[in-house]
Amino acid sequence: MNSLRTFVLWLAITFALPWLILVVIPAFKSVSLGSVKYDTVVDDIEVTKIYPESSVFTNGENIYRAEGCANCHTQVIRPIYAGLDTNRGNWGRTDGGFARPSRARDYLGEDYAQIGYRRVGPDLSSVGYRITDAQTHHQHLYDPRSVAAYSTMPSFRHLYERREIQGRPSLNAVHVEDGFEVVPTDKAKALVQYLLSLKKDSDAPTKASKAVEATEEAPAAPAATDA
Amino acid sequence: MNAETTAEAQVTEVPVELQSLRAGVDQSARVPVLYFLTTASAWLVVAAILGFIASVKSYYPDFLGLDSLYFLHYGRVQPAFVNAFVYGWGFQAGVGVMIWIMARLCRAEVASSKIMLFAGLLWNIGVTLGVFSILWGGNTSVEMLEFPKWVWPILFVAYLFMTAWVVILFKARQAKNIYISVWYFLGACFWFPWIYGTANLLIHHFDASGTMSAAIDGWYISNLMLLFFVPVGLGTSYYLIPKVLGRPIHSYQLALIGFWMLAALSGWTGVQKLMGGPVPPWMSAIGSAAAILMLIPVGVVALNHHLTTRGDHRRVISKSPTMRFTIFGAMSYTFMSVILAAMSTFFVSRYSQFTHADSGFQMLLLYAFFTMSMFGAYYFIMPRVSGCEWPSGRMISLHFWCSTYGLTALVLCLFCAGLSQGFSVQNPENWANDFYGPVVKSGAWLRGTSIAWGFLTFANIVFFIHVVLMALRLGRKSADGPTMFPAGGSH
Repeated sequence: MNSLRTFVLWLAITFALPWLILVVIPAFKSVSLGSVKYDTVVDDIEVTKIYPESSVFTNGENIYRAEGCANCHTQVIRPIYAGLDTNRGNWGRTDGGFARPSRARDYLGEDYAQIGYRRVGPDLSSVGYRITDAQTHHQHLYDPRSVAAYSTMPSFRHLYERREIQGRPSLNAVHVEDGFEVVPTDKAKALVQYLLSLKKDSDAPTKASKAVEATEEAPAAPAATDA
Repeated sequence: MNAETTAEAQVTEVPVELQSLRAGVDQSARVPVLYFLTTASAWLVVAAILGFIASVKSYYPDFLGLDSLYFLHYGRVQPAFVNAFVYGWGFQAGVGVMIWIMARLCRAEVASSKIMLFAGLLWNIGVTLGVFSILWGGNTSVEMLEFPKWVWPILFVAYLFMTAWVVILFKARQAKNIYISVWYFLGACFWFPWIYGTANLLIHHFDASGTMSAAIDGWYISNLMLLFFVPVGLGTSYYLIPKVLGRPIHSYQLALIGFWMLAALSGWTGVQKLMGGPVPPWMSAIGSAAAILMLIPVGVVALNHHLTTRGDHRRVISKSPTMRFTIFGAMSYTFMSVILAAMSTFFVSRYSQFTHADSGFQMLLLYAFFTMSMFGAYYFIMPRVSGCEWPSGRMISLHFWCSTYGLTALVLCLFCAGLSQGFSVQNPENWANDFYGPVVKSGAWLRGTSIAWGFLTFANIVFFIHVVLMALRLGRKSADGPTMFPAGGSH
């Protein structure tokens, strides 16, 4: 083999094949991934409901990405042939019940699915069902070891500000001492909004009766509230 | 003529014209090669320190827990470490070594080192900005692509400049026959921009769905490792092993088969990282199949190296730093492939997926194989570009043993930490519990990784000092051959 031209040609052919088939063509096809309607009969659901019902809070997702939460937390439930995630009693919608395996549409509305690198902490795909109260999240983010002594989660106290108490302590203060209180900044509030919006264990349609245009009925993004 | 080439001289006398040609090539390559190799070794120290901090943070998060050091938490410092290691150390060491070996193999002088220096500077600027951005909150949480999306064009342009010269050297070649290392290096130069550009464009700048972007990231990670770091490492060991031994590789045909099988299979791998996840199952199935088939080209390379070195193992490994590091790297490569095949099966991945075992595999490939092979190349190349021998056989020995112990401990502890996490998560007794099991069970192994990183950081600081001494031409002026391991025992 002595010719650069032949070499580059064969290199290009052997690589272009998987590049097109595995990467480029599926990427282009995935652009049209959108919500779907349930089948009213088979899924026993009202006709107006679409799947997925809601998507995540994007501002908070950006904080989640910037802080590298995916390094320790996954957001994926694997099917039985790949692992026993479905059986962990508290990773799904109901406490003690099964979690269904994750599907691509669960991540609709996310620019990059935060599937996660590794599980140093629990899976978060349905943490919005497990923890419904913002203060619990704030307490955990501010001081993880006050919630679980064995936890190796870092303290995200840089997302909280310490200030003098004006009159009475704020309702959302995570810590109060000596005339000072610690309250969440906007970043912490956004992150917690995102965590509360993580509800990926909705019923998946058995049969997609009709693909709904994403522009028509996009999954409802949760409204920002002051949490 | 030094001892490493006297082996050649026993076969044929090295003609004076060849000696002066080599001297000319070495002289022309001096500035860019020294630049890349020295900055790379600096980045290695930075990466090792970040790696050490990350490893401690994984079980003791309040380490360096000052409010002002908030950016050192695991979620930021771990990706900072990986990116500093891959892009700061890995690429620059690889490019420095590639330029020199290509120049020698093509018997062509390196022209216009200014452009390469500019490219190297641009690359360093990009990586520095990227690593700082990760620590200061610009982390994209896309594995191996955590730099903010404005960084990759800088690196892309710098890379094109750096490797344009590899191609130009090839075009200027004097040799008629082309050696296997040349194909591996040319391959790496062509593949990487293709892979890097595709992944960055589709993930950061295109409207692909969230899960498809994650699949593309899995593809990128695997191809970065298999189609850049592996070819550079293999090309280097295919050059160094015959060179130091003074005999040709056993079979050029086998080497070509290994190359083309790698080329044909690697592009299909990667998505099996997400097997069972929300990606089309055929993608991870193909990835797993290709990863398992990779055992064949890897076996071919191992066979080739073994047959080339047969009969000479003890003599060469006991004395030559280049050979010891290179052989360690080559054996790690074979082991890596076995682990890759195993982790691509559901049997193993149900316990290893989404655990520290994945980091263990990356360290096995990027450190135990690639980095150790690069160390072997450093010990061979630097005397030839700086005109003096390594000052201290002791420092080389320290570097080798601390790296060996550190790496073995690191990879072992990461795999054990990962499997202990995996088994704990899958254990039905733990299903109703909090996530106590995996955290506590992996704790001992994670502490082991910190000890390992201590050894590795020390080894890399020693190495960096040694490299700087050589770059400043403060090495030994040799009359008695290259610096070998200190005599008397294996230490």
